[in-house]
Amino acid sequence: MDYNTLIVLIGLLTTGVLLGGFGALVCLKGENLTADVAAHGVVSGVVASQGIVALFGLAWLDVPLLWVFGFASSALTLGFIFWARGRGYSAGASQALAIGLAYGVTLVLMSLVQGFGAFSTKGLTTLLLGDAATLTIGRVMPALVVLIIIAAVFAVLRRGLMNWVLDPQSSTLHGNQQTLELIWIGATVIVVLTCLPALGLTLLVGGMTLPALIVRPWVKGFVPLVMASAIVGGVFAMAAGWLSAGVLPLPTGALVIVSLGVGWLLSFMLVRCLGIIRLDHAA
Amino acid sequence: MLLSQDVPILLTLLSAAVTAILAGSLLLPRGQIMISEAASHAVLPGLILGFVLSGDHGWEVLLGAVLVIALFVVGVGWLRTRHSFGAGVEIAALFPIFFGVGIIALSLTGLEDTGMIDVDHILFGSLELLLWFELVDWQDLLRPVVWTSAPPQMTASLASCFLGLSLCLLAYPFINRSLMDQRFMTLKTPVGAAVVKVLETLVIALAAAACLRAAGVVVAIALFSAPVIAGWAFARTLWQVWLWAIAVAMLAIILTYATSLAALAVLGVEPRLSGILALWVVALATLAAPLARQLKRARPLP
Repeated sequence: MDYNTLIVLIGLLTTGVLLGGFGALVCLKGENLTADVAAHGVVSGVVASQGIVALFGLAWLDVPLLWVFGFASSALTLGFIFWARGRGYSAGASQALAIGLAYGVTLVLMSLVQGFGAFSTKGLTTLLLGDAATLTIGRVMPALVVLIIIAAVFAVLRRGLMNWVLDPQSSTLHGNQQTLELIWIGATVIVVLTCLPALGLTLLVGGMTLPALIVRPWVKGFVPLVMASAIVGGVFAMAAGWLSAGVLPLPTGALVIVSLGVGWLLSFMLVRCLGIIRLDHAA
Repeated sequence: MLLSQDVPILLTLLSAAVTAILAGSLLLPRGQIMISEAASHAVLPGLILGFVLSGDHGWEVLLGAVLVIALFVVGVGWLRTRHSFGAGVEIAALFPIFFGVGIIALSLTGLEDTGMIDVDHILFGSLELLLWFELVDWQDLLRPVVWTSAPPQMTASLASCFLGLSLCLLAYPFINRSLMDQRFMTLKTPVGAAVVKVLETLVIALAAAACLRAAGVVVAIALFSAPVIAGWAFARTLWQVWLWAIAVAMLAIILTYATSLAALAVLGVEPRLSGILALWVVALATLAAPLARQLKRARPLP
């Protein structure tokens, strides 16, 4: 195995574990589509940062600006969702308005930037679909660091986290709901940003949702669900990456998600079969 | 206004808006409005299948899109009660799989390298390319021969609007009752309930496919949700929601045109129409609720 393939596999393993573990929390809260909207919110920040770089000739600030503006636009989009919910809109209506806003801002910014300077939308396709095959150690490192931090936070605060995820009323009673929501927005945006290079913003939500759905019928308890989702996410992502590198030369991100989909289908069918066998034995 | 250039864009946007509003009004009260966003991504395999079978961007592509979106909507409905997680997980699980299958199909068919299916075009739309309609004055709209020069996106959008509107009017009493009372359909025979469900699915699939074909993902998502959310603030019945939402969409289209002309005059740059339209409908939807409260017409938000 050559060095580049090794880096790609490490990147996919990290992304899979991060998305799987964090995704289990997101699934329990039913916030998967909010995370999807957050991912779409990144694009306007990316366009704005590229526009600033092109207009003012700040090529040396390219990467930091990309992170800062991506984070800011995604966090603002999530903030809009929570603001709309606070005004009385349902979760679906707030998400739909936020994604319409994010897309609208992106398109208007894009055409303005294109009107004033050179900017190609082709680079955005990579953002939308991901490009795991070109992962470098520099693009893997943020995900690895975030994974270590989140794992440490989870190890220390797992009981409090469980209470907050499964019983949101308890945090309201303690009066720290707003703080926890801000932390949640920050964590979601950071996970989304660090996982974008591998899977892209459209497939990312699949990496958050499918591992939890695969393991849900087989585990009991909060911690086993999160751990098993993380492991399944990592294993599937790495296996699909390995297949994509050699046996099946197909787009890696899509292969990861489709293989997770097949895994979910198999898990679902196996649970059904075992249920039928148990009923048969009981009879 | 240059009729041959502006009328196709206006007619396409308006018919796409009406179709999307009909479908959005079925999804929003059930808390499933994000199906519109998900369906616009899930449609990719249908577009590719239609293109591979026909070799061009004709009616087969629209049919493929309708079929795949219908399959997606049925799949979401079936999965909704079969997992123990929060709301919307079934949508979030299914649409990346559909999109992933589409990306793999794009790669396997070799269309990825030919540029025949342009993902940018599907996502961001290209309303500005809806040219040309042989129209000299408004009376020409009554001459059948003029319609032979209509852009295919406009024809598809108008046809979808007509079909969607016919289906909704046909099933109005059932749709209206089932939206107000979720258990209403259980009182009907299984065949009757299935027919209404199929009609609803068809309206949603038709709207998503037509909007995407005509105007791209951005406009599709904005038109499905925002006008209906705005209409909801003022209306008391389903048909009132439709009328208010269509009025909001028309206002947004007029404001879009005005903004586009103003930007061109002031900045010398013409921003994408789909982007401006998305921003205007979201802005109007956000303003609708406070305005309704001021006018003492407020009702619970969707």
